[in-house]
Amino acid sequence: MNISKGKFVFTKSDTAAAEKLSAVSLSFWQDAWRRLKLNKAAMFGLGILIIILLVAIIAPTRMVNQKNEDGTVYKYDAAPIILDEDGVEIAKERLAFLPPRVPGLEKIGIFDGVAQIEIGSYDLVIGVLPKTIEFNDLRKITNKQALIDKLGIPYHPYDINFKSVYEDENDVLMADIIIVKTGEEVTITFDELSSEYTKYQQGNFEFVKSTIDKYGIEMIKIKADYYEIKNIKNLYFWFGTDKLALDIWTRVWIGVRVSLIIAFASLIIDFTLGIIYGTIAGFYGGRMLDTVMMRFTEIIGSIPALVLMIIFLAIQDPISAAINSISPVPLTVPVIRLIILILAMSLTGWIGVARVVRAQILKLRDLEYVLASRTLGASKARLMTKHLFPNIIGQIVVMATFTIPGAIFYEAFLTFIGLGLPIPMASLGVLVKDGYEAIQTIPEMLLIPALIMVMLMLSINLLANGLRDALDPRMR
Amino acid sequence: MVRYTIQRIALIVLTLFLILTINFFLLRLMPGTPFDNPKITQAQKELMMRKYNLNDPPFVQYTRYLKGVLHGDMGVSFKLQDQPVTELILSKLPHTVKIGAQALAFGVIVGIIFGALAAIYRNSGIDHAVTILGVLGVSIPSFVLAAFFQYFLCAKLGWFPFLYSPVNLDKGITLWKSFYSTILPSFSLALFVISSTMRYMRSELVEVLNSDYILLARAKGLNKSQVIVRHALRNAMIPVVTIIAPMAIGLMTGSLIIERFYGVPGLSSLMVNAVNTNDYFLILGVNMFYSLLFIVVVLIVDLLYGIIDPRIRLKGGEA
Repeated sequence: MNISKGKFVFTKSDTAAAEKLSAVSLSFWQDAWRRLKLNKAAMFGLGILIIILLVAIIAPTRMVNQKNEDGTVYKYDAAPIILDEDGVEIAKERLAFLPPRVPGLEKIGIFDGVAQIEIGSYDLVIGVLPKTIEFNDLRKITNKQALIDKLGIPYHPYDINFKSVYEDENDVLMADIIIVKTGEEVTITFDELSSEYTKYQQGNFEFVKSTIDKYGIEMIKIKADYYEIKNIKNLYFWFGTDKLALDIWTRVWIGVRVSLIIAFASLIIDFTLGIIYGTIAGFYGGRMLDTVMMRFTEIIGSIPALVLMIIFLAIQDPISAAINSISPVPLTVPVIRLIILILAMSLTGWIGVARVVRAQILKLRDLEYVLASRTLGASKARLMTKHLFPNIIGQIVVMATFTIPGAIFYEAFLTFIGLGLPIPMASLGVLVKDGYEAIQTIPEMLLIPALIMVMLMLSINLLANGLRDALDPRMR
Repeated sequence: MVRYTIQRIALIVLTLFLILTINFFLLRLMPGTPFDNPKITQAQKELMMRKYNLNDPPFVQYTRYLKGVLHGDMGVSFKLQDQPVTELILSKLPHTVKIGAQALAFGVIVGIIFGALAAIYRNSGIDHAVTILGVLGVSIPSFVLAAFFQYFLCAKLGWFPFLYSPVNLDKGITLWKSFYSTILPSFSLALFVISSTMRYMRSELVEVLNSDYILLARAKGLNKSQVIVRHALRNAMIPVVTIIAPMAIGLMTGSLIIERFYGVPGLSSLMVNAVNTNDYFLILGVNMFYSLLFIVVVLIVDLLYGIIDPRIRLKGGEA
């Protein structure tokens, strides 16, 4: 056997190298982010959230009407000032209550400015009146009584019935009407059905169907291109306009901002208060101070949040006076209303946070590493901020994320029962409420803000679910 | 257990007293009087204020009100023809309770079934569907759902009536017809209950199914369905009881809007109108009632939990 001596050399033993980590060291947040990225649903939520936020940042500054050379900016709280071809300002009435219309999409039949409406037969009958000066005046809704006296028919939908609605041999839409009181039968064409009240003019609408509802009132359903009726065919309101001619596209995105501001502001108040309160109570856990503090939260917590909010919002006039007196700068009414709403939502929100923080602190306080630090002479403040707080931050982030959809819901809820922000301020709640009132005519006014609200809440919930899994040490 | 119950009830009385006091004095800060109407002259207003003793110092009014409450008299409504507040609340209550109870019962039952299925068939299609439904359920506010229902199911398809109709045999509204009109409002409220119960039930049952006693039951030779029905489900359902209280509170909040949507003559309209018209005693009454309902639900659930969970019962009521 001849083995070379070179094979019997000691291997290098480098203890320092053995201790070296082969993987890149990750901080707590880096690690959480890595795990969050693996969660498809959470990433989907984050993506939607980012898109919504970006649009909400960019969209409200949209320059509108291309023909408008001075570059009008659509405002969320004021009707746009748009000039027609002759340089005359278009009246607000013509811009109010328009269905959505988007260039491009209108060609495939959606967002094309067409809406279906259903109106009572009386409203159409009013259009049958001859177009003389005398009747023009009487046709105005304010002169209802005068008109009734003149015609000798009571203003009551029951008293005028459509006998039939049909197309004659020339494809002209005809209607037979009976005036109940006199029994008189009148045949008219739908083309005649134009009046200031209905705003429908010849050729502008398409008859869909006529039904008699359960009260015996004849209801006529018609489909109309509102942009044509109002002679503003060159304009595009992407999400339509509301009854005050405010542009809904702008309002929706301002609304998203406002709803998020409310949610974040109340979240910051809740968590600042809750964390401080919970940390102190937990740190003195079991002693008198803790008992008193916890009893206090128990009592406040047993009042339904709703009751507190309603009372708080009912007395908002003295509160706004108080806010004004302590504020260094004069505040506008919308800002004060916003502050009051945020405060109302924070009245009870902090309690839940305080309880969780206290429970966590109680658990961590007696662990060895805290004892070690205490033995080394660390002050109470240092223990709280350096050793206890960092260990509960993950849970706090998760809780905070779950709070946002709730706050968005509460804002909308309070608006719905009439205690939220007033028109023309915009928030998702205000928009959904406005849209609900117009659901019969322009359903998009409800569907669009409602969908955006659901998307926003859904994306945050998905993200929060992902964060909970990513930040939970047990899931590692 | 008895001592614990007494303690809790004492705390309730204290809390209600505090709520009443806070509400009473805060309401005095409300701008205006209940009789702010341009049609009413100053003299008439003065007369009204005197009739209801609203000119007395607040503390005198407060003690008088407190005395009344102790005798079961919550005052009268200024706006609704001097009707006693208690009567008003009791007359509106059945409608609110009916819809709320239907939503809660339906939601909890469906939620338990779905949650159990998801846990049993873990990581299957059912489980994923349940997870999605769970996230959707907490992301769609009840009033958005109600609005969608009204638009698609009532207006477009005409399957359901727009409005709630109470039983009235004279008008031909039978029990069935009335129930049919409560389906949409109840379901709008129930979605959130379904998703919360479902998520909770799923995680509880998953934990139970992984425990040792389930393994033991299997080892004894019981088949899978027996193990699930007799051993797993029962134990998993115990903690679900605890979330009934917060859900009932959520229903109360949601019902305020849903009642407006479907025209339910319940507590919602009473409450909102009272706030808008400065009807002091009515606001106080409804608020007290809501608080009482809230506190009692929490108490019942806590006690129930102590009773059905032997671990807590045997430990001596430290629930």
